[in-house]
Amino acid sequence: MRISTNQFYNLNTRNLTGLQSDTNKTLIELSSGKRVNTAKDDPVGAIMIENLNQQNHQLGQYKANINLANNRLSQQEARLAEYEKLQMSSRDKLLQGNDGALSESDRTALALDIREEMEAVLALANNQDESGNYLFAGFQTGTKPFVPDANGNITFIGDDGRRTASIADGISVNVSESGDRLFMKSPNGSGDYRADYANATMTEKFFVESAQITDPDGHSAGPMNIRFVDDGSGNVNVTVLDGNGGVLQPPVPFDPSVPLQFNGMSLEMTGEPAIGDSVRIDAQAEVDIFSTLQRAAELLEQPEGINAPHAQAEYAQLIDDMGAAQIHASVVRAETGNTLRSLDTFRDQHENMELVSSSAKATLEDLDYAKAITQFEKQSLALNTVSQTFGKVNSLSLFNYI
Amino acid sequence: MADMMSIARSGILAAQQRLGATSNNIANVGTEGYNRQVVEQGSTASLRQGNHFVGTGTYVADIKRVYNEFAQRELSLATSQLSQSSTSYSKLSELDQIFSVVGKSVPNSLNTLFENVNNLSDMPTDLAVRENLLTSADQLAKAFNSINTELSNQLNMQNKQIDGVVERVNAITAELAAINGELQKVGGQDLQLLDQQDRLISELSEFVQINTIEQAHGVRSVMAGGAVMLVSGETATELGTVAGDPIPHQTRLTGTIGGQTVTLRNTELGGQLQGLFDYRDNELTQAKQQLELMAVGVADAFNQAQANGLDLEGNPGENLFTDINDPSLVSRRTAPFAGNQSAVSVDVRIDDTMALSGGSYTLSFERGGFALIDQHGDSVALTADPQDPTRLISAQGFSLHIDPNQMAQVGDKWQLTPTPGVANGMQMLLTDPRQVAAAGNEGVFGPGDNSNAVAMAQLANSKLMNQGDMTLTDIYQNVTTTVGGKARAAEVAMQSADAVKGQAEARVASESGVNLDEEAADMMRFQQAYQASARIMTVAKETFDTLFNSVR
Repeated sequence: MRISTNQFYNLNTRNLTGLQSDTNKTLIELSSGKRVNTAKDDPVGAIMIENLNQQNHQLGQYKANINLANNRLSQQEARLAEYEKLQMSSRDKLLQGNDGALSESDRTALALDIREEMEAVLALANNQDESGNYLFAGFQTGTKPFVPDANGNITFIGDDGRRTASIADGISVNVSESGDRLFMKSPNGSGDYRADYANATMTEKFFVESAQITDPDGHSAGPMNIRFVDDGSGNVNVTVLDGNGGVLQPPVPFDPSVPLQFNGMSLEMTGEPAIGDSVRIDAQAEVDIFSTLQRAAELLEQPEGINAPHAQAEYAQLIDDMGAAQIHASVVRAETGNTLRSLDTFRDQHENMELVSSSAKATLEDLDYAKAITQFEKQSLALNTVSQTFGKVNSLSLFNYI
Repeated sequence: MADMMSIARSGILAAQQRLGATSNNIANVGTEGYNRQVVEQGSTASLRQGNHFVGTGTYVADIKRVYNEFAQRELSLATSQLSQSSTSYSKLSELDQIFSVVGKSVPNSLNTLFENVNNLSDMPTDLAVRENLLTSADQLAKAFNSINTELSNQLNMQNKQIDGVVERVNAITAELAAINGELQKVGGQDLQLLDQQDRLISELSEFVQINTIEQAHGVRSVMAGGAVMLVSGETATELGTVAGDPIPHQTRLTGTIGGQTVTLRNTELGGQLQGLFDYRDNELTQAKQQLELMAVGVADAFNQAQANGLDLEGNPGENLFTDINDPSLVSRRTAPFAGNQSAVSVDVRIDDTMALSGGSYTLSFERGGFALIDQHGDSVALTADPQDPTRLISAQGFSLHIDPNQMAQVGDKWQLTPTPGVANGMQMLLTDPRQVAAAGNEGVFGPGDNSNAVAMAQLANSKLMNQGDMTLTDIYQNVTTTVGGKARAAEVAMQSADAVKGQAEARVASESGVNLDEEAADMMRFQQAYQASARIMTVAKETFDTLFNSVR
């Protein structure tokens, strides 16, 4: 084929620039370490890379949320541990007070101790976080949640809102605990109903151990009176009447080992009631820690102490409440602990996932250096060879010989 | 023997001419578009002497260009194709860069905003956290503004470039028309003029794909894209651009000849001009539409989330970003065609961002009422709102509000684009960090409530767009990868067009190009021929001298 001189030059220039541009591309790849620098370098790979980037970003966000949740829950956990400690020492004080041999001054001193414990619990319940938000106020974080009312009873003026954090797709955890649940709603020690010993007729000691609703459908709620009556031959019978005097449980001989079953509930009593004694029970499933402690102090502060049967029974009821409150707090603490554990699990899961997607991304995006360097060597060799031969052939011209 | 002298003379003259042609070839070895010239030499008519004929010498019959019309046409076609595909490639690479590098600030600031929303759900009452959220929302709005500006600049640049190309095409066609006139005047083949004509045609074929029609004396008429007559004899059509209808910045091509101007279709031009029109009206427009769609999605998602919650004062959250149905935006969604008989105003309001396509629609008033077709030509159903007689609802996420006081005329048309202007007009509206609605609106309000912030943070993963197929960020990724894919395809097309052009060029060059070695050989050959003819003269002289001497 006939080749024109220009064509010869053009062809060589074209080859040289082609090789140069290929070499340049390899150099860019080598310097960035990436095979895909913009979407055009590998459109299909770019879709995957973008998706993996976004996924990693989301995982990073979840990990950040987990860290924040972890901080919150660790703070809360520390407070719950503190609460348990206070409960334990309060219960010790209560048990110390449950001793008929104590002098009035001993009792007054104990009552003072118990009031101090209550103040400590109150201070804990009104704890604030680093930015001054009340921890146990629900969503009313700007308002002190536990305050005494006109009668000196502690009331809760927050709400039961609980903050949540998203820690994985579709999974969120509570990062705050409601003070209402924790402090105001520990279960009543005797179950669903509670004896009103303060207003009871008690010539002898007896105690409502438990009053539980066993059959909610067969139960009609309302205050009830437990009466101990003469069976006609001087033995103690027990009967239960409703608020209007209707008989719920006809008289039966009193036997502490046999719980009474009536009105869809089970009533368990101990002691040795006397004929003519009576006590009212009212529906109350929950008690608050403050009134428990406050009432215990009040009872101890009475001049006659807690020797009267009704005072003794009420004091025993408070000790039961205290025990129930301890179990309640440890349940809440265990929940927090479980959430903290699940945070760790999810963090591990996210980290593993990140590793997987990072390595998937690397295979798509990262340069195979060995391959790229080999290619670069090949390209520079070709570039060299073409330049040299071009130079040589170029110097051959017929004009040099004439 | 006088013959010998005149034969030698003709030989010398011919050799001189050939040396001249060779020299001209050598001199023009570097001239672009030069076709090598060869001398056609013939022997002069023989002389009858008695019973036989004797030769009388030589003469130069013609000086011709070595020119292959077919190869030239092929080269011109290949030039147009390469020019079109390399225009597409360079434009798409630029767009690829805009989305892959510059525009990354959009998804990045969206991610930062979500980070701050997550921080807010940890500390819903913290004013610094709230302030950070507002700052990142502001940055997101600005990121949208700036990539939108970038794309608008691209659009303006295309229009300027189109105007520039049109101007150059006009200059070339005017010159070609003048050359045609010149050729007719000389009535023949002026090789230099023909080469000039070739050069112009080959430059012209970079801008548009052309077809030439050969006429007498080398006169050539030129058509663009097989439909538009650019040069006809001595007259050239003057191209121009006018504002688009109904979208002004989508300028259209016009042709003016003899005082009459017609609008030309810009789909069959080929060459760079086609590449520019295609990029402007397809890839760039689509990328911009998708960006707008994302901006609509982002603004609407956050505004709705705000409305679902309560701010730090317990008031319902206000819009974080400009409302997607803000009057200033609604007014940009409808463009009436120039030929409309009525001035009915049609407002497009977005009802459901998830159902939006991002594309544009054509609304027309027919005898049966309003009819809507999408940009693919498919008709879109419109249903009347039983509560509001002025409202027509489409299932594509928007509804039309038509001014009831004016009557539309049959044939009236409007172009509707439900999404434009949002990326450009997007602003962060909140001035006080307390206005961020972190609290939920169920139950009693409490400043420590983070439930709405948690819900807002989940927008990051929610498939809010494209019929529930895509997250907000997915839209951006989709544009990036679509543009990247098109840029890659254009690169492949450009490479093959380049190879085709290389072959066509080689073919032309191998026939018409100058080869210096060949010319060197010719030079020696004709130098020898000259010397030999000169020698004939001396021999003839010597022969005469011998004769003279013998008779003296």
